[in-house]
Amino acid sequence: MRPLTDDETKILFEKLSKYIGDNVRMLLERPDGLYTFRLHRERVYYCSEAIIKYASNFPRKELLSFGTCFGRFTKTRKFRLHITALDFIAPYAKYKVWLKPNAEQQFLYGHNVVKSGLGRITENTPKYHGVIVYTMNDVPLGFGVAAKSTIECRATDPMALVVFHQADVGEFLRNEDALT
Amino acid sequence: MNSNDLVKNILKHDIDEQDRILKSTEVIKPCPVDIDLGNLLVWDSNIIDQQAYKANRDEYIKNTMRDNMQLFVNALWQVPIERHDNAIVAKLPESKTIVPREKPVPKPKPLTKWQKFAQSKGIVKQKKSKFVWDETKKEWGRRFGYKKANDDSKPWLIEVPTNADPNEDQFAKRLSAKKERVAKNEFQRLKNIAHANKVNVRNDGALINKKSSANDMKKALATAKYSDASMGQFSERATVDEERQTRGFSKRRKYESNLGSLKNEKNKQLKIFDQMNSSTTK
Repeated sequence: MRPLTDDETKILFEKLSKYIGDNVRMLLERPDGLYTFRLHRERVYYCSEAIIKYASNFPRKELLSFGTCFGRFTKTRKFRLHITALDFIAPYAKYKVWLKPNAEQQFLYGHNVVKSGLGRITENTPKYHGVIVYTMNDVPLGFGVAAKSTIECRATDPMALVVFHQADVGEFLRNEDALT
Repeated sequence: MNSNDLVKNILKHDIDEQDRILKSTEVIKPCPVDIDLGNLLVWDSNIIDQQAYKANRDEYIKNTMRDNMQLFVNALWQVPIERHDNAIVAKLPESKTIVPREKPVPKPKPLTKWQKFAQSKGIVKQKKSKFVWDETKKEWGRRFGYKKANDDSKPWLIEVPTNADPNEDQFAKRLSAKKERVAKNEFQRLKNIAHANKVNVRNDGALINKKSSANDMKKALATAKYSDASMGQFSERATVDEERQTRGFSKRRKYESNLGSLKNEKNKQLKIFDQMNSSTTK
């Protein structure tokens, strides 16, 4: 376990700000305690001070996971955001997409979202920006990347892709061994 | 005895047939065949009968081959024979045909640094004896190698010299000195090889006279950064790309302490975030 280097922090923040923009500050400055990021086995964990102190008592090989895993750094030092970060990202999301009930299942199986499945989308979503995907009842389902901006979405035909799938809560069942 | 004669006639007829089919071991060829027993080679320079060849090619080839084979086996039986455990072995003579070289002639190796020096000074290698008298063991031991004479590589006692630090580990000092000598030898050996292959190498393994790329510049910069007395502890930390490329170079990687002040961490992270935001145009 070690703190992130400056460059790793930068890469992490860049990825996070794609989904929550400026609200990354909210993750860092919390009123209920000092929370920070730690790197363990190439995975980034978000945890409070107390958890860090407890977790540092374990030998490296035997420590599996602590706090919340946000994602991992790949071999070429790119950051991949995992679905386990959804709980922290969803409340601060800048651009949201709501899905119709029949499209929910498609998304949960890992497919991209077609325009016919799109319920609502926040105004002024830029193209290729990170979005959080919700059901119509405001239950967060996962992350995506907007394939088209809001204006374009209105114009396209019903079979066009509007959101690229990045991560969904179905992964808890599909990829459970890859998540820690 | 007509029936008897008849049987005899039939049998004789059969035997004659067999003899005719099997042919004799005699082979007559217009031009004598060249047999090289050393290489197990038969060289037949007879003219090919075009008509017979055209009539039935396979048959003709089979017949010629059979004849040549017969001649070869005849010659083989002429050669002196030995017997090894129920196996008859023929001692083949030396081969007559000259076979061309398989690989090209080896080029003379370029002289090493020592060899050049010895040549210029006129130093000749003295033949040394293989065994040396070991006074302590009172027996002959090898000059070098397994159970060598006067072997002091594993001493049970080392006297501390008068001007040396009493807390210094003399045994460790010996071991490290040996390691250094071995490493130096290896280094010089590699230098000789590099010089022989006309490759000019600098001390850190980089090539001289090579058109340096941007990568080489970065490596040289990284080398320079840790080439000071503190081994690069106070130089500016490299960016991620530079770090990746110089991974084997600078051994000191600086990470913050895990349980350091979290407040400081938070402030640092916020600063990074602000910097990031101010620089991006979004």
